[in-house]
Amino acid sequence: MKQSRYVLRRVWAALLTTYVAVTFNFLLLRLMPGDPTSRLARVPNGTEETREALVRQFGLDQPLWRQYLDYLRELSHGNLGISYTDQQPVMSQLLDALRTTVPMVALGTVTAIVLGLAFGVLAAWWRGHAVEKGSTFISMFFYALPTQWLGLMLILIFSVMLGWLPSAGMHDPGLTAARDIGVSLPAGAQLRDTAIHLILPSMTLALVLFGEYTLVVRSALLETFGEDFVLTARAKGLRPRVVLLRHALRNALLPVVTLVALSIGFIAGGSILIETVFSWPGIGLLSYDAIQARDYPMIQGTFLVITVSVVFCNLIADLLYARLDPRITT
Amino acid sequence: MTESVLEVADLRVTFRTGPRGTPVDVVRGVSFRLDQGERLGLVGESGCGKSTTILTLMGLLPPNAEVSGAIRLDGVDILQGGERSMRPHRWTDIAMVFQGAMNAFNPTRTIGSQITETMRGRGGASRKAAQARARDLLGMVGIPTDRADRYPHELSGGMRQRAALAMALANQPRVLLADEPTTALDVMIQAQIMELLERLTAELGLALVLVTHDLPLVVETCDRVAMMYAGRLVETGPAASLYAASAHPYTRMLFAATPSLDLDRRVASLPGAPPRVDQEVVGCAFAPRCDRAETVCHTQAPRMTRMADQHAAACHFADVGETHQPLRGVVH
Amino acid sequence: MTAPSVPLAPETSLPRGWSLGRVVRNNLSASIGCVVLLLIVLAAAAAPLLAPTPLYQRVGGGFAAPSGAHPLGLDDGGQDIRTLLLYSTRTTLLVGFGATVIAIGIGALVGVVAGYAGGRTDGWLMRLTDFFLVVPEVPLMMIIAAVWGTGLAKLVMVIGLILWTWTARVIRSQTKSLRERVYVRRARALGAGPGHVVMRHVLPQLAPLLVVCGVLAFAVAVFDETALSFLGLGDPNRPSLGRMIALASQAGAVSNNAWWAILYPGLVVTAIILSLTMMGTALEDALNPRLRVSHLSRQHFRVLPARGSTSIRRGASTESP
Repeated sequence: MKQSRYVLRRVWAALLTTYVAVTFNFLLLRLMPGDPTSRLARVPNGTEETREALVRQFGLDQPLWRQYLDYLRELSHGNLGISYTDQQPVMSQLLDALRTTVPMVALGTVTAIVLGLAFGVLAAWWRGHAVEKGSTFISMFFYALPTQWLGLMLILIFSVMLGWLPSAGMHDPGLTAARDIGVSLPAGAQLRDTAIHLILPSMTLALVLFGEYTLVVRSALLETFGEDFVLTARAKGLRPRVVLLRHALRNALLPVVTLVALSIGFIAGGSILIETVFSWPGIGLLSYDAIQARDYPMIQGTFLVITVSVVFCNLIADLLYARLDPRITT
Repeated sequence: MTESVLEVADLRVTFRTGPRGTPVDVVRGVSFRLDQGERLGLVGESGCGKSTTILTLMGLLPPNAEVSGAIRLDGVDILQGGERSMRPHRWTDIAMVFQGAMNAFNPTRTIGSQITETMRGRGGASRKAAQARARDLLGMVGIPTDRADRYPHELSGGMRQRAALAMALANQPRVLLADEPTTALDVMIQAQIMELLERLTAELGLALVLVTHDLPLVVETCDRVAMMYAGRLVETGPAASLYAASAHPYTRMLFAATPSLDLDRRVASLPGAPPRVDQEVVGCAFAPRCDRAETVCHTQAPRMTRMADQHAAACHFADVGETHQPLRGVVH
Repeated sequence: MTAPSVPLAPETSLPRGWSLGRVVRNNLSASIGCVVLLLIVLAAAAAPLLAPTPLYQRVGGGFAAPSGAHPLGLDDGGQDIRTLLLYSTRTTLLVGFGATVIAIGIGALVGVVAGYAGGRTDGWLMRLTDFFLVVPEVPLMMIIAAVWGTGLAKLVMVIGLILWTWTARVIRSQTKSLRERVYVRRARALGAGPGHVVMRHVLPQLAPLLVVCGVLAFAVAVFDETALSFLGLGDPNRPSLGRMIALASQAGAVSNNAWWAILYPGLVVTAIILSLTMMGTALEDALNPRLRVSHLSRQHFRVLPARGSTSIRRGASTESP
């Protein structure tokens, strides 16, 4: 494949970014102004014993390069340390949390992409018309909404006022209790329960994302409309609609893929806010709780997992871009 | 005499631009006819409206354009119905090779698929037949047939221009419009493309409209020439008689402005610039640049007057007709 | 919120004879955004004059519903929401503005140096930029703020230090193309130093683009302020719009159905970001030369039946995708 060099370069860049993030993670706690031990020991209800345990756990009595090597070695074994708050290994909690976060984020993002494409295509097609003005205004409006606020408002409307949807968590407490005491539940009841809990968080994400996607799709399409090959396609007697779908959209997707990839970092941030608002037990909530408790191993762990996921998704987007654009050869 | 394939009558194009829709007259009443297999050169400086004219023949104007006049294909007007009446004729009757043909292909699709797409839907050809024909067409323009599966960026500029020509022939049109088909190519390739264009139009009996600013090229390639200035035709006639006896000062000026192998003649530059398109023209549009303009030229617009067989010019002093040779322009 | 769609087209420019001010005046949505933003800024600046009650004064019961005396209701501590909104908007705008200034400063510096110097310098600076562009911003801000501690200045720094990447990318590509313009090359050939060329020829050309980047970065900075405050990483000593939402939700505004304690601060944030976005998008479109040509449209050219006639026919009926 001619594209293999491109792929290798992207993989290499992703690895490099991950490495820099890992190192940054290490240095952050140690190079910040002030004594790392005292900062680390600023654990709520921390005793002298925990302090010493921390110093030992982080190897803070060792020279810096030594600490760094230890850190990398532990990391390569998947060891991210022990959480202060519940004394459990950070890694296993992170993996559990990732499993709850991914469906919520995926549903929200896919919905946002579908909405963004639909509104963006409409806006570009009806350029200068009320349809364009309306759909760009709607997207700018949703783009402007603070994520956490939209979540709270949706809870107020759909849970508190209308009582249609649950406001928090991913399981109905009654259902969980029933299962715990051995009541046999109808098949699919639990799945349905989780699905209902999934609606508000993922729709919050979809709504705050789709606005930006719409604006991006619109301007990418409008830029493509000025290309010579679009004029040629029209000259060939193709219907404008066919030119739009077969020629313009395909090419407009290229910048869209890049910009959607760049928004993955925002999605990660959004998931922290959303999971906090909806008590959705994923990575985001885990990192929020860790921040509140100043649980440093957990803070580092969540940051690492989020960063690696984002870098990985970006890599996927880069590879997708190469699939869509035959010009990429080197 | 043969039946004319294409007839353009009093074509006018106005663009409305800006928030207040200031009208800009780009084409101000152009009429010409094109016979079966005839080659017409449409010549003028950039901004004279020649590209807009042929884009109008394809019906490819933006929504802020207002068009009037008539475009008759085999005697039937196709302009009045607008987009709806023009689209069915695109590519099947009138096809085009663009100025920016380097970018005429969609970079994300193969050359072959872009040639076949017009044969499939409206042409009614089967997939196999369309692909076979695409290969034949590529062969005709001298491209190895396996290039059909390649992407545009894998072909050189000259190759892409040939492929664009092959694509234009896909639906067997009768009229081919070529807008500066050789700009942005180097001289050797230019010559090859022009030769190919001549050969194919002759072989297939195509009528050709060649738009360019290169007057000698047109004289060499075309049967007839139409000189365009500030949105109007100022001189039309058989290439030979236009060359031998240019009637309009603008034509003479363009001839004088081209390098020649005659050692005793030096290249003259064109003084001045065409009038701005957003301004009303009083009198002859060329008068401000004309070395023999008189009072009447600034007050009264000249009418197209026929001088010899097929040869006409819009100049108050056209009948003074002289050859281009003795002209003294601004000489370097 | 990470990636405004500022084009990475080789060269952005305003159409001849246009200025940013004229773009805003001629674009309805941008004008509305500009006016709304000005009103909000004025109200925030005049907070002590406009506030109906003194800050931190209890004027009724916790979460008292909107009433004649307090049309926007009271928060959990019995304070008038109107007063809180005015003072909070001040903080939020201050944080947003400060962070924007830092972000644009760094972005312009990195972008100009990378674009002008080229070569290795460019390579390394862009690698750095790409790193910050990829690393998720809210988690990064969270971890820095958590380690560094909270406070107004720190909040401004944290946001500003992370928000510069997009500006750097855009400014770099623009600088690269400006560098090759004829008059810049001539100045270089005549021996003008890089400092002189940048100050004299490059920066003035970058100004409109920097304004657009600033407007869009401001919107993101305001968003980030509310996000960090919501996560408990804002300045604990000042009311801000983000903290109002956070405190109300922690005090149980949702379960008590005290919607007013959450609705209004969010609306103000939305109004600020929306006005900035409306201006930013209009300016962005105006700067993008590639949006000025279009070969594809739902509408078609018009055919006038004959000269002098007034009736006009559409080229064809409209089509929708």
